[in-house]
Amino acid sequence: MGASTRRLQKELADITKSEALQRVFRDVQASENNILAWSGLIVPENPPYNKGAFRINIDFPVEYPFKPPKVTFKTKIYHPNVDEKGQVCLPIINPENWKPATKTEQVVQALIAMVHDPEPENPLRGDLAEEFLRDKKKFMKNAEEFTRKNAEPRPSD
Amino acid sequence: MFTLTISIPKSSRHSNPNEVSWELVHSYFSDLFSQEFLCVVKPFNGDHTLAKLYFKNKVTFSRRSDEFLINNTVPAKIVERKEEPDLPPTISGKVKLPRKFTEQELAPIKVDLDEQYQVEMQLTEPKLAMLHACHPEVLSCAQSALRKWASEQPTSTASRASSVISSTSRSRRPLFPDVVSQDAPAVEGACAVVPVDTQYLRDLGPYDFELALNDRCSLRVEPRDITTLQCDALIVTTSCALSLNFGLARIVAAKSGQQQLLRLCREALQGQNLKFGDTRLVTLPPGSQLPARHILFLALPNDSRLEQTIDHNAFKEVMKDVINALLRTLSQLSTELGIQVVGMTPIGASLPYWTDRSEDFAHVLAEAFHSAGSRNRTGDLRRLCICDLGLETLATLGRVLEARFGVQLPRVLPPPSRNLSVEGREFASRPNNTAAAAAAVSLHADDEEFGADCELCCEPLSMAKPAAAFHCNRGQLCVTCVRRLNDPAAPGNGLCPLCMDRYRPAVGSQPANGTMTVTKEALSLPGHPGYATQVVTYTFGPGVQGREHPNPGLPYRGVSRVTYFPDSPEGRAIVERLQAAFRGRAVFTIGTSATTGMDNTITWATVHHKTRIDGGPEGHGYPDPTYLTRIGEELTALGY
Repeated sequence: MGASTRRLQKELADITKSEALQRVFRDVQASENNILAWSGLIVPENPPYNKGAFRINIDFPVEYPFKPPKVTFKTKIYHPNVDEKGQVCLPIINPENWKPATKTEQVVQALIAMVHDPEPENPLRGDLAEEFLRDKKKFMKNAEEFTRKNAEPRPSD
Repeated sequence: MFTLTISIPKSSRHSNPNEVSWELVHSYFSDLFSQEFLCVVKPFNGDHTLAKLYFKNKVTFSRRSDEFLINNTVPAKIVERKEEPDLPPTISGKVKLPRKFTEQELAPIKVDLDEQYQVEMQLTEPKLAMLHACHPEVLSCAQSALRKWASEQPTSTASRASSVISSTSRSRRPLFPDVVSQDAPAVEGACAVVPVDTQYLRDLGPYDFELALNDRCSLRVEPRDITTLQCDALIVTTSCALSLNFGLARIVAAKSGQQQLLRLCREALQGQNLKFGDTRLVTLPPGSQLPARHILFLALPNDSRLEQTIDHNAFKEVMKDVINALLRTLSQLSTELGIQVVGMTPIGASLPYWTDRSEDFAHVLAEAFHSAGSRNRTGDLRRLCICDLGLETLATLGRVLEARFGVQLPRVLPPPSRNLSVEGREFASRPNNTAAAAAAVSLHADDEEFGADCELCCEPLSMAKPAAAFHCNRGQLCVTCVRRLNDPAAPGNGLCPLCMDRYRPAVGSQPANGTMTVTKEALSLPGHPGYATQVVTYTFGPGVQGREHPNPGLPYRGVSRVTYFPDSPEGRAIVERLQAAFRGRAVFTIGTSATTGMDNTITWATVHHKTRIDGGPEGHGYPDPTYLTRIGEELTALGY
């Protein structure tokens, strides 16, 4: 059992109770036999992603909180900052910027902010970033269609 | 009734007489004469160097002279012996209180009077307290203490709420009630309850802390009566003949069956006296009141003859060998007998040879602990506890340990999260409480939690995982996290997790097998006419990724990079800073190459380099007028 167990248990409890994330981040749980592997459902509120939900994995290194967690999308998403493998470029969990005092709740908040407001200046998918900048309407249409086709159903409540 | 008045003169080491606390005198005499002892009044007659002891019957203090050492550490002298046979068993006195007090309000002072003077207090009328004491002097002390206390309480019953608060905060008495500020006003009567001078404690140095010797073993320095320490083995210094007649050995013998222990010691000796520094292990008989399992006797006679035989430095060498041998023995016992927690006094601090060179004992101990810790010669030992009631002795050791280990140790007891440990220390306040108090010290001292969590790992702070000082001290971090933050090999951005200010340069995950060489070329770089060129070559052989890398266990390929800087003053300063960043493993990292897209390769971290002479910014070359400013900023961002 790593030193981070207690912190992760506490963070998991905090994130479940979090009011800021209540609607947009649901179904968060740790893997049955590994507290270092979490999953949760991002339920965006802004178009073009508000027609579906996106499953993400949060993987914590053994050295957490001294090393940052990794966030990956398990559901495909049409987004300039998420690549085809589901990898995300999120400054808050960049190893160079990582602060051990940062809580997972803040990481998830930053992730949701990025989903709502793509940052085409630092893209992982140049084609989508270009489309986002050149033809926002087309991007929105494509993203909405992609979401309807590939995303998970939104929780009913 | 029998009384002893003792003087505790100023000595070089105990320069402040307050250092010799009431608790020290109390615990020493209550242990020595557990049947006859009644109480201690200190300071006596307002004099901090005097203490008066009260006994039921005459006690004989079998020493050739009137001078003796309290707990083998503090020199003291008997100034008066007095037999007072005709006194009644108890003497009563009244104190008129300024107003009505509730029983709840009176509870804390009742406990104080009882513990400090063995004085019983009753409320006979609403505003009249009756005190019962063993002696008129004790009675008058207790009376003035009660009067003073009552006069300090809020007068109006309307402020009941605030008095409740003050009574709760009073419920934990200061650990050293007689550490007084020098300019405290004199109060009527022989003894005054005066505020603790916290500045004095702070200036003294670290005296209550835990220090990690290595991954498994830590050193706990704590002001407490060592006979109350829960441990596997207690180190007791004694004579070469294992005499149980003085000092700690005498107290230990009194608590664990004098005759039985004497027999065990004789068996251990097998008719031969020990040599200076030898040790003998004795397992305590069942029924012993000591919370320890074994006694490890250390032959360290408090013998002034030694001084005449060897010079100061030779003596220091002898002591070094003794302490090193002791630690070797402990490490051996730890694996053989499962001895994990060991209690000891600040060994050597009481030797008369060193009293005027008070730091020597600390240097010898610190050196021995450091070498045993760093060379992993601690066996299965988990904790070494050094206990003494002399704060200055512990603080001397603390300061020397700080210097030897290069760490900052905490100065003041951090309230309120340490309350539990303070409570554990309120031990032998009076003789008949000793056993109960000792039993109250948790059987699992390691699990004693302080009620606060480390702000990084969220583990509860406990005796086993205490808080440690770090950078701004704006929050509480545990020793494990602080050790990780300070580990020079552990990657991190060098920012304090509490205040986000830099506490050290960033440490990166650059592979350890690299080299950085700087050579000069006569040619000038575009944009830097008149200056030669510094050629900085980085070379890494192939290797296997460690736990700080993205894919631990997988191999990475070797790499060689040639970069260029002008040989100008500005360029030379940048290269110097790069050398520091390279030593901090912050120039390269292992990851996916941005140019080739290959995984598991050594790539540039955050500091941009010019890998070509020309081509301009687009071609990673010169001319690039703002390059040196930018790379300077990138180095600053890492703390180099």
